[in-house]
Amino acid sequence: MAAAETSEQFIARHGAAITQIYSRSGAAAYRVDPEALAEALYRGACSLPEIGIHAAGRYLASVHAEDLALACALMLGDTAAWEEFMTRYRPALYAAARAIARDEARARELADSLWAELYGVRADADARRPILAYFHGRSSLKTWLHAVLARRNVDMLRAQRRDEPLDNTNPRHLAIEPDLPNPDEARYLALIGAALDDALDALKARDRLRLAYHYADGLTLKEIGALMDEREWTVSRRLKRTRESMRKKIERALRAAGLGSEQIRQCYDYALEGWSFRLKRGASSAPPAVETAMQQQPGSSFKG
Amino acid sequence: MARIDGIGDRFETLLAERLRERDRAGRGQCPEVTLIAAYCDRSLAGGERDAVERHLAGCALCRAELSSITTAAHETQAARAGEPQLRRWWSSASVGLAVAGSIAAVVAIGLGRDYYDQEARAPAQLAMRTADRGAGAISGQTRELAARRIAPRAQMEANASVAAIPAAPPPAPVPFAKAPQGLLPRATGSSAVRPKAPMMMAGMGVNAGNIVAGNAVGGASAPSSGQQSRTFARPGWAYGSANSPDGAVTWKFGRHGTIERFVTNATTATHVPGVTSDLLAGSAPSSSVCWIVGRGGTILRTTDGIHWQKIGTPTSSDLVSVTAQGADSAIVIDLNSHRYATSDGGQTWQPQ
Repeated sequence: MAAAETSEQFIARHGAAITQIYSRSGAAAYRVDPEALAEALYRGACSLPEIGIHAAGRYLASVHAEDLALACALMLGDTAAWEEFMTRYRPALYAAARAIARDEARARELADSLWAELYGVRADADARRPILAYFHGRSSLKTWLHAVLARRNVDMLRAQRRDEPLDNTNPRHLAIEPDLPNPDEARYLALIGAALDDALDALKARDRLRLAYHYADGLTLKEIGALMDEREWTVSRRLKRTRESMRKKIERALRAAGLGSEQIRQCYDYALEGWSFRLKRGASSAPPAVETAMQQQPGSSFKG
Repeated sequence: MARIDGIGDRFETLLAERLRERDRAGRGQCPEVTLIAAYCDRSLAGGERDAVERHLAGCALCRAELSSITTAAHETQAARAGEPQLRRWWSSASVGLAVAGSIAAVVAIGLGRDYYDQEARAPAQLAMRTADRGAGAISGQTRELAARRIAPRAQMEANASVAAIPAAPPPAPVPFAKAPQGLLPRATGSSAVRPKAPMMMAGMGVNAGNIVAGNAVGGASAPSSGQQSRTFARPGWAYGSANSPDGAVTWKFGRHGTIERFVTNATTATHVPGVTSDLLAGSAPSSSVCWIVGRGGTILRTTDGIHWQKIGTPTSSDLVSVTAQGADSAIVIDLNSHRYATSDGGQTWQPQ
């Protein structure tokens, strides 16, 4: 949407689409008038990262109209909407908090705080924007609530660990160590580091994400498939293809720098040795917090 | 170009470490919650989806969030469908470990990053202070889920049609400017004009396991204190539940001051005289003691599990949380995050 477009201009330009959205949203049942829904759609269009009439059109075409109407009605204080929300979403909110936090106390805290904020949306409406105003119908209301819970869960964990020492592992693992005994080692490390980064940067975002899920997060193919909406075998095939292409790119770059097969092998050895060294050196900082959290999270008492 | 053999494992180790280091380095500001939610729902078009995936590839925090959202979606879906909650891959230890590990790793090292909309963070922190750390209601929720599994949704809906409890008439709209506290109507609004529901005496529950859903088997007679007893077979009336630590008793509470008590093979429903407020939170420190709070500062307590007493309230604000330690001791929180504690059964309350 054009950044300078006013609400009136937006409504004039997309009047037909807004009318259609209003009629299929069921907003009338909640006594939400067309102007209120149009205003919510305008807010949603303003939040789009892309600018232009086409982006606004795509947004209007894909908006979750019923959920947006419900959110509008909640903000306007419609009784029927609140009853609907209480019965349909409140139990689900607590169930989602349990699934996300995997700790009873934290789940309760998460859900209570969000619920209090949703419920008290009008308490100091003049002072701040109600949280529901951030819902633009770009997803279902349920998914949005889950996303808010998930982010607050991480927020809470971060707040609890704010006083813990940070990981002092060298963030640039392939940086040249000042006291490397072998002069070749520094060069080899720099070469393979640059080649690896170049190969990663050249990947499509989706391919890089697949790699991150698999190698950084340790998810299985099936888990990755569920997150990326792909079949297990597709994930496997694409991971393999990405791996192969990266290896070739790295090898090509190293050969272009004048290294032979044995020297390329040596590059990998140096890089991994450097890692072991840094992992040992940084072992005293990161693991306790990570291990503690990992022991706390899974299992718990959420057997359903 | 000749492929060099024997470095496959080394390449993969190197790749994994490099990806983790990129996570630690961070790559710009994280997308807003709205965008993450839209990505989860597969609602993003090419350019936006690519942008989110580009960020996700370098941000373990957002990947962990995404995994959590997916897990929540699947688990709530399973619970709603009333099907047995089988251990699935997304609730298995492996995903739990992966998600927990990702969150913990990022939390441990990425404290300095401003990763989401500051405007939205302020109310989040404000609301966080309202959190009540008790765990009673969660275990109650778990029990509620168990009850739903035992009594299939279809049967509950069938019960609803038999029960024929008249729905509340559509309440008058509450003008935004005239109701400064809370979005729900006050108890004197819609609740006061709601016609009384008929007593349901006929046995119509589904005896499955040890819970009879939506019926008052053996509990249809009114309690002696004048409190009405009836069944509430219409699904979805309850806003929450609290169960005793031993799991023997569960109280469900919800609209218009309605309370249901579940014990083995029996369910009794109660209306406390003079209470028409919606009940929002509860806490049960034992199988005979339960505290329930709700709108307009409503506080109810039972000390024998059956008869309810209205307790003096320290506030007229809506109460959204309660944690009870016993019959005399409890802490309540209102929606403005004010906490009040009593140690004499509600005769006096101290702000905290």
